[in-house]
Amino acid sequence: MKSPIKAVPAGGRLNLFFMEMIIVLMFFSIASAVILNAFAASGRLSRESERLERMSFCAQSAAEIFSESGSLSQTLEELFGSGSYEILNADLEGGGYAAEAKLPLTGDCEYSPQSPEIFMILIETAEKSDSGTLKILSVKFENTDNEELYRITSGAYIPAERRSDANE
Amino acid sequence: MNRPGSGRLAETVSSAASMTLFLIFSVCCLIIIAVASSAYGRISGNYDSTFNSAAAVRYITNKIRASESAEVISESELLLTNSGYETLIYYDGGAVFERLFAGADSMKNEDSPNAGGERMFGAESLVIEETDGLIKVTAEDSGHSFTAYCRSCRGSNRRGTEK
Repeated sequence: MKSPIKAVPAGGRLNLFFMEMIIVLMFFSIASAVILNAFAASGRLSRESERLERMSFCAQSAAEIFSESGSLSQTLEELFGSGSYEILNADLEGGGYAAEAKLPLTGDCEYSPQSPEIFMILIETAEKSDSGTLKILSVKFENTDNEELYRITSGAYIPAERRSDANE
Repeated sequence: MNRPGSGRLAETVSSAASMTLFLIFSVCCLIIIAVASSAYGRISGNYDSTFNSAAAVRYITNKIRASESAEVISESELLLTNSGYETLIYYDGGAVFERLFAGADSMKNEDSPNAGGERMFGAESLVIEETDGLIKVTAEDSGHSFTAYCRSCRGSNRRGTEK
């Protein structure tokens, strides 16, 4: 038994409205795929932008604290509270030293060793001279693929008189 | 050979299929418009709240850097002093306000200094704290909170205590 449902009716003419609707649906599905992609990309860019903003705030705060305190450990303590941050120290030739800390953070720049989304790398170098000590702090953010996202450098200069005063 | 009445049935089914397709098209249109509008609203709201809180914090920290001295009066009031004028930044009723006072110590002579200022940014909260020569500014709007540290005044220096 033949089905009575036919795309081509008995008259032989194709149902134009039916065809038009199929073509319209095809265009509609293509257009909606493009639009939804655009919205998804826009949402992703918005989140990226907020994350970058947070990184810049975090890095600038670190730079401000470091330029005030001149100490990497104090900077970390002020930013993320007292915790066991691993700081690697090394003496440099010529009287200076370097220190480095790598902190796992969430996208909101909160300290999170369990589920890191980004890493904040702080490198402190110090050059000692007769007139004083120049300390440079480089703050860098990297994603989990070691791709650099943001970087800022700040400095703190401690004159020799102050250093000797403090030592006394 | 077609049975009598099968042509009419095919026509009815064809019309019904066309109408069903049209219905599917309309429903899909509505769904896409609803999804797009919701996504746009979310992105726009997110941008606005991020902008409000981030801009408020940046504005206040830049004002602190530019001023000669900064005094935290309370958690939501900050007085910035420059030669010849004072600026009071305060939080009131869901927004950050700024008010200028001409002349030194003119703010203290005012009966209600934290009224009549110019509205700068909308925010759900503003907290200003002073710790060890640093001022910590935190602003929050619609769940987006930003915090920045800033030295309390130009040329501030407590590095001399370092050993």
